[in-house]
Amino acid sequence: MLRQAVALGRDVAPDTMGCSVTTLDGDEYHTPVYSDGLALDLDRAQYDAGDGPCMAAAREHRYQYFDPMTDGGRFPGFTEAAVERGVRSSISLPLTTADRFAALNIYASSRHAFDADRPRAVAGLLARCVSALLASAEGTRLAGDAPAAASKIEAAQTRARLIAEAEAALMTERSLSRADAFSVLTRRSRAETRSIFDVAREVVGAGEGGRAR
Amino acid sequence: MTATESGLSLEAGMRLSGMSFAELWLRHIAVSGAIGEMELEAYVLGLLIPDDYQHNLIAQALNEYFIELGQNHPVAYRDTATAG
Repeated sequence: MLRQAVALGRDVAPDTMGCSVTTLDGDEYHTPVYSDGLALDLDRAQYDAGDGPCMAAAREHRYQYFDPMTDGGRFPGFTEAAVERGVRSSISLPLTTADRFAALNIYASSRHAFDADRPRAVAGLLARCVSALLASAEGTRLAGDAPAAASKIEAAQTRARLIAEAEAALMTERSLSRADAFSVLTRRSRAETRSIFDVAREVVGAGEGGRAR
Repeated sequence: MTATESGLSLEAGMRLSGMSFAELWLRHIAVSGAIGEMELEAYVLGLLIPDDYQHNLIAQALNEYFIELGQNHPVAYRDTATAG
């Protein structure tokens, strides 16, 4: 599953050459998963050079956008190896795991391959998937601040119950499907320029499912 | 799938809001949505195609954010048009 996810990295942007995962164990960097040999080779070139964007992303837990034509000064040891192998841009994204530093790396043969919002967003989504798979593989959980998160979810669920009650009133009184009852609430929210929660409260409180527009 | 009304796409609305996907997910739960955060992201980014109901749930979750800022529902809904 992790290998399949990393293989998807090749579809993040046009001209993508390969995708890999870098992990930092103690003071040693490793590439446990990669889409193809070139990605592994590029990761190892960074480890041999002593620094590179994927190592920086894992170590500093920050996104790294790398263009060897303009960023050579940041990673001089790696830049030459990257250019030799045809890399013209790369993106490295930190991965959230409970007990280790890691990064997802994607290399491309064109400059600015990851400049647009969309490839960045898709790469971000893939990084989250890989984080979850890594965490699962390590037997850990991405708990974060569990009590605060639980409190927010509980508040959201309380509001959801209000919407569900309003939907139920509309479904009963007007013989609507749940989707259509929801449409009635959204339509009224738009017509009256106010929150759907205010509309739902009114529908439930007044028992006015039959009168909602 | 029915017609999409005029307004922002889910992706454009998400970008404009500056919200995190975690925050959008909570807002989506609050309007009675029930999908996971990654599935939500995939719908917003256009990697999966939501049905009309799912689309409108996400649009409402985004629009609730904009309503709090005094804006009137900039994200487009799909007009299901049967519940009038």
